[in-house]
Amino acid sequence: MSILAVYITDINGQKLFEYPVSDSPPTNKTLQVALRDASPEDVVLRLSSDELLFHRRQDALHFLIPCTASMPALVPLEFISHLIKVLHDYFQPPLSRQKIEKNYSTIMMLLNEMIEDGYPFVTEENALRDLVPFAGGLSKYLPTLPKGAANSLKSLTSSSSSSKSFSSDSSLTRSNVPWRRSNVKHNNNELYVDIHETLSVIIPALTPTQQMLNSINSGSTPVPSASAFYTPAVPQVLAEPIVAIAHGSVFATTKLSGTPDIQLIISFGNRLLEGPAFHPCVRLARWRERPGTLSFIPPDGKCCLLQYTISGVESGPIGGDLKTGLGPMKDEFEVRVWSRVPRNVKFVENLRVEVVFDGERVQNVKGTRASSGEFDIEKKGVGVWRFPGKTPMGWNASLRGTMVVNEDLATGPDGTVPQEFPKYVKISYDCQGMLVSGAKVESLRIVSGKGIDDRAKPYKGVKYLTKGKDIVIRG
Amino acid sequence: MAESLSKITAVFETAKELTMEAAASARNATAIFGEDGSFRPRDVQRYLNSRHEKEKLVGMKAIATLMSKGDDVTEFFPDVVKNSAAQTLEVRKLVYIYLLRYAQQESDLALLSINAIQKSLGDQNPQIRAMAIKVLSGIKVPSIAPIVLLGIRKSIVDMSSVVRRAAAVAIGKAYELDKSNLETLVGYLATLLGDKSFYVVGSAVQTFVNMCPDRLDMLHTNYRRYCNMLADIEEWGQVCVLDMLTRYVRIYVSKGRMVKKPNESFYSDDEEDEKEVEKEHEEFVIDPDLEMLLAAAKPLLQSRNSAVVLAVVNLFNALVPEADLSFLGPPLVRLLSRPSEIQYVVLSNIAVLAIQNNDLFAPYLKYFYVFPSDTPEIAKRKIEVLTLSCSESTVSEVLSELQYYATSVDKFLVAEAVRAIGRCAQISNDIARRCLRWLLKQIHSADPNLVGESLTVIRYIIQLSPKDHVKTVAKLALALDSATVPLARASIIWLVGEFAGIARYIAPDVLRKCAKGFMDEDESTKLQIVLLSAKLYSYYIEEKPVQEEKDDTDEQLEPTIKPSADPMDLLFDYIMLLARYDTSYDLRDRARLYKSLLASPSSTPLAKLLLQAPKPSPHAPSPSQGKEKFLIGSSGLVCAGVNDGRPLPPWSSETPDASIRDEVKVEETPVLAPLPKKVKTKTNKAKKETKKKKVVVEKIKNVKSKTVKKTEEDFHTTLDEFFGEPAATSAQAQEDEEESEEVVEEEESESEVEVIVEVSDDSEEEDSEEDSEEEISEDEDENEAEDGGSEEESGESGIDEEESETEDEDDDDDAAGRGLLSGQ
Repeated sequence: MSILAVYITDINGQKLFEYPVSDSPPTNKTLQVALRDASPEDVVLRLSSDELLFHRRQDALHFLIPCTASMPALVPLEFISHLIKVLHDYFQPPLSRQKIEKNYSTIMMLLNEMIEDGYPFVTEENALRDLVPFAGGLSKYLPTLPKGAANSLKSLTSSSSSSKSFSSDSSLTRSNVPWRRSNVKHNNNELYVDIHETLSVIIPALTPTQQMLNSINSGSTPVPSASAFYTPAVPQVLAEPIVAIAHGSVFATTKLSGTPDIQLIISFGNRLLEGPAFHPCVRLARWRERPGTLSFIPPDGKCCLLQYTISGVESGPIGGDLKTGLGPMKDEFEVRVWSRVPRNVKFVENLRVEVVFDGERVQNVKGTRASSGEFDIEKKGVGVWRFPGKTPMGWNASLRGTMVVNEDLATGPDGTVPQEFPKYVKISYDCQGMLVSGAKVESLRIVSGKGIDDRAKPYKGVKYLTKGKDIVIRG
Repeated sequence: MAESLSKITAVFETAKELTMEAAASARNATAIFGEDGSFRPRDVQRYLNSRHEKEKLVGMKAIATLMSKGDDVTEFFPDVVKNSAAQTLEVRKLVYIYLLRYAQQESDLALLSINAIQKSLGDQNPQIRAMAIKVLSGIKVPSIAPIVLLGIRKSIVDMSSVVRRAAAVAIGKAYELDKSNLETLVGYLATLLGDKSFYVVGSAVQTFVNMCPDRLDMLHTNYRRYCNMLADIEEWGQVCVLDMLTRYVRIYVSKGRMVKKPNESFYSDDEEDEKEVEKEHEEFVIDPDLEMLLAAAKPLLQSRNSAVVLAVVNLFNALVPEADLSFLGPPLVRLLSRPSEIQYVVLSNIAVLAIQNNDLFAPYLKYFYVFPSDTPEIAKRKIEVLTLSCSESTVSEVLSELQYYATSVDKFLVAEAVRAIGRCAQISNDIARRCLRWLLKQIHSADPNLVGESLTVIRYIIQLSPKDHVKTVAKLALALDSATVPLARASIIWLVGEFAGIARYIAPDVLRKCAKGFMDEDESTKLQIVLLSAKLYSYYIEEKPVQEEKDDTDEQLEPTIKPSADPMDLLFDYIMLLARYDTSYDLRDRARLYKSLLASPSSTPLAKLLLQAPKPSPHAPSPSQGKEKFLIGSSGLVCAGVNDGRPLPPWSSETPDASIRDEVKVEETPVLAPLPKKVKTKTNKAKKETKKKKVVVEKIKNVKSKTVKKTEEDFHTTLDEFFGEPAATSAQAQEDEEESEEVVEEEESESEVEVIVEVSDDSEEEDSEEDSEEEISEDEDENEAEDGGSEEESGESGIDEEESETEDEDDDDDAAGRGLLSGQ
């Protein structure tokens, strides 16, 4: 049971970094051959009857970890996740070829701590900060030192102390809390909470009855669909989503001196969290006593306290539908999107609507008329309707067009050419200020915190973000 | 004014210095690496041999860069080794990494560094001691094996858990270095397996798994302790411990069984989990030790590390598959929010679980609906889980979802979905009919992929019970009139021919229709028509022996065709004739073959064998079928054809009494190998530790009388572990005894360990004398702090005293962390 090596390559497979663990690990060349022969989705590749390759692409880099076959499959994959987290912590996301090449010695030292005897060893970012010099110190400031920067001198001299002889180096004493680095000091004590939810929704095509209802009373009485939202008068009968899942993560970014003890209470309403997962710092007993209570001594910096999944949530601040067979020739389609009006939210960002059709049969989309935004064919089979910048709430837009069918390919059984329509529409967006599950931070209390000024109010507030990732409307 | 001016000047001075330094280091970097990234070996050497730590660092960083690029840097070995006692931590670490990688190739030169490393073993800083034992054991030079043993021996009783953890790893490496030391190393490992610190135990178990996985008997006395500390062990260690405990239970703990007396519950603390099976008075009863493990493992399902979650799932699946495992669903489903690589592995495991237990994921069907962003492999697994988990009540929901995928643009998805529909058809006859109806409709689709897959599945369904499907064959024949895709036509004709035996009146009519439009058919269809005619003809001659006499009634046929009374003769001859003049070689050849085969009565049996042999029904199991033999979470389950390690041992029929797991003193078991010879320094150190411990004990006495008892007891244990003697005697007696032994042993060891020990002895003694004083005071502080901390904890979170006691015993351990977590 052993990790044999760690390779980092660019997306073309050119080796940037190698860290052999065993005596003669498979070479990058061997791995690249194995990768070339496999399909790009293959996660686990067989190198020989005793050796496997696990790999993952991230930020234009490719992480390759050959292992012995007795390794549980998720250990190397989770290890890559941890490695990426640590590299993000040391060198800031996104990672790039340049960042790897500039920091060879640091990455080598990190891996030397992270893998022991072929198995993950110390993988907590905070613990590693105590063990491996943080490159953010001196080297980061030096190239940009302004001529008369008296202000930055103070921070400079303090950070340069880390390069002194280690016998006096305080950072070497291990912290009492395994996930928190020792002797944390901050001039400005700050604490932020971020809750992110990623929303995935599937809205089925309207049934014939629903379509008929729509054509009868077109444009009149809106049917209330989601309780928390006021729905503008655009939609009529809407199909209920068959799947609506939110994956949530609660992050705490703490910049607090000493060893603070924090209690964060989040209310999830009556919703059921499916199998929540916690950072090791969270006291599970407290959560069990009162679900929603996160009691913890945080690691320094950003950490993910809680991950949860909720199903059956509302379908989010952006709604949409897809109609086909419109117009005099019954060959037009119409995509509509609208934003609902939830409380406290003014806009959504990065709204993007993908119209997906059969790229083999459809040559082009003609006569597109968009009430706003821009529509282009991005690649074969996918047209993208973009709304740059901020999209206000209580707004709507529509897109009409006709698919031009490639007649050579698509002759039907009776010699006619069946009209093609979009297969589905996929919407994505970011919406700050609300959570689709309705989760809310109820209170945050620093229970005890030596080294933090009593008058200081470190808690700077909470940010909510709903990311519409896969809002699929089927045609 | 003047004062502030001087201040400003001073500031500027510093600024100037810094800028100069920066400029210098920038120059250094470019000096070694030219514009094109090349380097000059001479420069690197110069920096490595510099007196300035900063320049050494530049040199080592250059080496690190070259190593990371995969270049050979063995030429610098002498220059690098010189720096193994460098003052800067960063330089020293880089030198160590270099040594770990290249010492094997330059073993003689590497020995130069051993002295310095050994010296670090006595450093006052635990991190440096840990680093030293790590490097010492990692240098792959066989001749230093005795020194490594010595180092480990010293480190396993170190005050700091960081060092003991490093020692746990070092044991495994020392074993790789010299396998003949196994017994000694197993003895050391036994000490660490019984370590008080959860920080150490995880790594000790990891070494155990690699070094001596079959010595599960070493775990008897640790079993219950591990159950208690499971939640606190770091996540990677948890994966190992869970796997090992699973194996342990299989061999040493009795299997859960049905018992008629209903006075025990599955989970003592949770009545809902009580397992009631069939008769009310029968109950699932398990060993209390197993119950303890299950209760301890269950909270780990909330780990953020997916490898831990799967290890827990494997434990439950392997140990209590009969129990109600519905609580495994949510944590697994939650993992579907992770990156696609992890999703894929998790889904593969879910599929295997679903094969064993169809109900496990039934409440979570919605999580397995396919999104357009899913990779094909993920989609495939999701569809499989959907199919496996659907029951009669949910099948219509699942079917309509599958039907949606089957009509999508994605070819891969279409194929998977249609096959899945075929598998759903097995649930009941009603559903099979519904599936068949829908599949028959798809024959008219313009998508050849969908048509082909549908026909394959239709054939499969018919073959399951041919007698019930005569009507289906008729429907297929009817569909032939409107089907246009050549592939579909060919498949239908083949199917009709295959079932000519059960649907006697359909096939000849199909052949008649096909004969009419033969000229316009695609070649693949023509081939099937020829085959169909041959099949039918073989049935025909079988029933009616070929008549020699033929009437001349049909005038429309060409003269070459022998006129016949039966239309079957006519049809066959007609098609053979058509095929004979076709442009395709293949078609002409086949026609000739069938014709000669069926011409003479002598070859009729052969023809029958060839044309009427029942085809094996296409086997359509769920794709993950057969993977149940792999352990949940193992690599073999996600990647075929690898040797993924050891299978779980079978349940043993006779298990020893549970009392073997009572927490007696580890040293009394025969498992422990006799410790090797002791060295003087070692013993001194031990004595010092004794003193330190006493101070600690005194200290604690004042605080909590109850604690003291326990501490003293455990204090004996530590010593006993160390001396390998029973715990009967008091600490003082033990010490005296040891002193008397010492003299003899010293001589022995001296001769064995030779020069290097001599060198190190002095330095170590110096060191340890120095730090022992410091450590005593440090230790006091720590214990004070911890004690305070634990009191606070127990006051606040209501942790009982027992737990805070264990904290006190831990020399430097994570008071806060443990306190927080032990409530779990």
